Amino acid sequence: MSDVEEGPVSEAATPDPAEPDIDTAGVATDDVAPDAAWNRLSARMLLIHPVRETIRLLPALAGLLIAGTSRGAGMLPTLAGLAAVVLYGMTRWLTTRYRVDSERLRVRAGFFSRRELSVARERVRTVDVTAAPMHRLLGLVLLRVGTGSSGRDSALVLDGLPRPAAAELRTRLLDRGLAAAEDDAPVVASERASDDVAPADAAAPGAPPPATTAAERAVHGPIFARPTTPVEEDRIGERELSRLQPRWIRFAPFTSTGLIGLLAILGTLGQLVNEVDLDASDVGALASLGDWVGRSATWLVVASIALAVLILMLLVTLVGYTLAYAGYRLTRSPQGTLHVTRGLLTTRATTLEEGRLRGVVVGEQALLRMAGGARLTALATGLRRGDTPARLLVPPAPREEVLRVGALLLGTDVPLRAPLIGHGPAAARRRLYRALGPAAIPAAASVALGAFGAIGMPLAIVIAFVVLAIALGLARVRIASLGHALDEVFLVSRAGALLRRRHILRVDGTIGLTMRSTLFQRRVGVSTLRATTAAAPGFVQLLDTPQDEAVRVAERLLGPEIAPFLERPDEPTAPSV
Amino acid sequence: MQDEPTAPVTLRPPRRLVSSRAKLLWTIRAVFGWAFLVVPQVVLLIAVWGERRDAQSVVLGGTLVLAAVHATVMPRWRYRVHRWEVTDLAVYTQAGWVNQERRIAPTTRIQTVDTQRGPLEQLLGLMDVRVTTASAAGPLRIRGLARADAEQLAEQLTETTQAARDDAT
Repeated sequence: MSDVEEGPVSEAATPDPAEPDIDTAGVATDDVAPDAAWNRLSARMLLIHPVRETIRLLPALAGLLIAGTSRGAGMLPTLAGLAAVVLYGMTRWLTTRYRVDSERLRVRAGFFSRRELSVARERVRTVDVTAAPMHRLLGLVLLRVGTGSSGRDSALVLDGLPRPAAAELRTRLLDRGLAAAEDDAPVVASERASDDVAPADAAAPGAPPPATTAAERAVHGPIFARPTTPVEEDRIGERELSRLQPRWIRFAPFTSTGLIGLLAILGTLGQLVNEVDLDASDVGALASLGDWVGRSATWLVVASIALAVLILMLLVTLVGYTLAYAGYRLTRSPQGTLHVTRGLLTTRATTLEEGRLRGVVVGEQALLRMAGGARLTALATGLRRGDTPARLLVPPAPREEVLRVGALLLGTDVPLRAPLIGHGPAAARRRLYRALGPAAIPAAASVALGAFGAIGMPLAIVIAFVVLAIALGLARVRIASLGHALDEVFLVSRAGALLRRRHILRVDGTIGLTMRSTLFQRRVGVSTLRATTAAAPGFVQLLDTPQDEAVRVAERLLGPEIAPFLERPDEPTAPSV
Repeated sequence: MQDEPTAPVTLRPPRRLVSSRAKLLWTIRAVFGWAFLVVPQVVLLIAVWGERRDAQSVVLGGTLVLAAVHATVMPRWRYRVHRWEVTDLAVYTQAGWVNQERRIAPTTRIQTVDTQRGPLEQLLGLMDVRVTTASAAGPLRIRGLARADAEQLAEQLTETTQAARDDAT
């Protein structure tokens, strides 16, 4: 059930007094308090809307411009597009109104299809007031009302209120909400994450900021807010656990957004070039570049390209990190929810009920680890399985910070820092074979090529050697990473070399057990144990665990359930159930 | 995190076997599967009775040998591995043959209990039982039970699950 309801505006229906939460259709004309007139948003929004929409539609307008010039129509299509945008903004302003009465906050919007969004005042849990740079210039703010309930329609946004009006509205909403919050149990909450995904992390320049979350079904489009500088911070009794430090940007080049972002940019550029139908030899700069390439030695060209790619990747990662994590804050509210906000152009806000947190995962990817950083994601129920961005608790940050926040969330830092039990020589040998095995193929291929004269034999041997050395290095890191630990409360498991992760799962979050063993594993006495959990991704894995240890862990995880199936060497077997 | 030395405890396999008719089921399935490989080869051999037939015959012979070995060994091996056991507190299954998997699910965590029968199972009077939990790691499956046993098991599990009700997450 959502707290924000919407329905067509019709004068006929009246709300059913027996069901105060469900506002079926319409406008009740009987409970209007004298001061509850329908208010408009500030007219100054008319200045912001066109600018904002223009920026958002810049690629489309650029496309129109290019199409127009190439077909000889000049600027006309672009101007027409601009006019349409401005008109749209004006219509929005004209048709949007809000009203607060004794029971509800209502917002009406829409030109062709009139909608009314409404929220019961006693359901209000949070009121966020933020202001983007353009808003600040004009003395406007964006007010977001949160109800702390689950579902997509759990927030209502008013974009473009004059500051005093917003302050007054906030007070009125929170007074009611504060009183109700005290005798209210924490409501079932889950995430309120954006629906937009990866492109936000590495937006190609000129790409439109993706549309906002469905949860923030505002009467407007994208929210152009910068949560780093909220005008007033208003969650009742909220405590901040972590916030972005500018120093953290040094971890940007060590994240994976670089390569992906670069590919995205190259892809967009390529498309653009195609559209514009450019002939490279016509452009002077490109022609002279082509000459230079033809004249220079191969190694110089290769080195230059490599350098250019590196610099580009560096820029892209810096931009990507800023876009994704600017304004990051992790807060905890006394109602028992965690709130993560981040994002520069597009804000992503995730609300997580702490009761659903089953553990955390410390991500220690290879590059990040080398730079002394880490990241933290949540093991929580109620999140969609593939929705990794919604699970982020701490972005790439110094390792100590990640461990500190993890300790705050788990209640102790023991599982985060505990030394792990290795999995023994059998597991180590398996890691070795599994790394050298696949590496043997390219190595052998290289040697074969050398033998047949396709490439020089010394080069072939060097390549083979390098490949095997890399594989060996990977295997050694994997062996060192593999391990687990267990106490009464937590199960810790770590594995991986390139994508090393330390999973920490609460033992009471385990809902089952799976033990897998291949023929080879059985021969050397190991098996892979999976503690299944309702938290995405569904299990925490202990890879290649010696059988004794696996059973010991299983016994700890599922004590009474597994007891009838265990055999101790000194006891006679229990009779069949 | 402590690390106390304990006497080596082992996890014994579940006690109950599936129906012995399951061997027939697996044999038939294996034969069907191999037929997809063998029949085209035979057709090819007959139709293109030309220069390549020595090599083709060797390949066909090899395939037939593999098929025979697989279809005789696999069902028997599987029959010894596939086991199940149910207590008041948990469901315990073991499945596989070369690669084996054991699964334990507490009855308090069970969300649904289903039975399934494909056409082959119906012919042989067998039934599969599928038990899901809240985890995305997949359900527990007991394949090749005699129909009466499967229905009884499903009923028993449903009762136990309803008795131990919580939201199973």
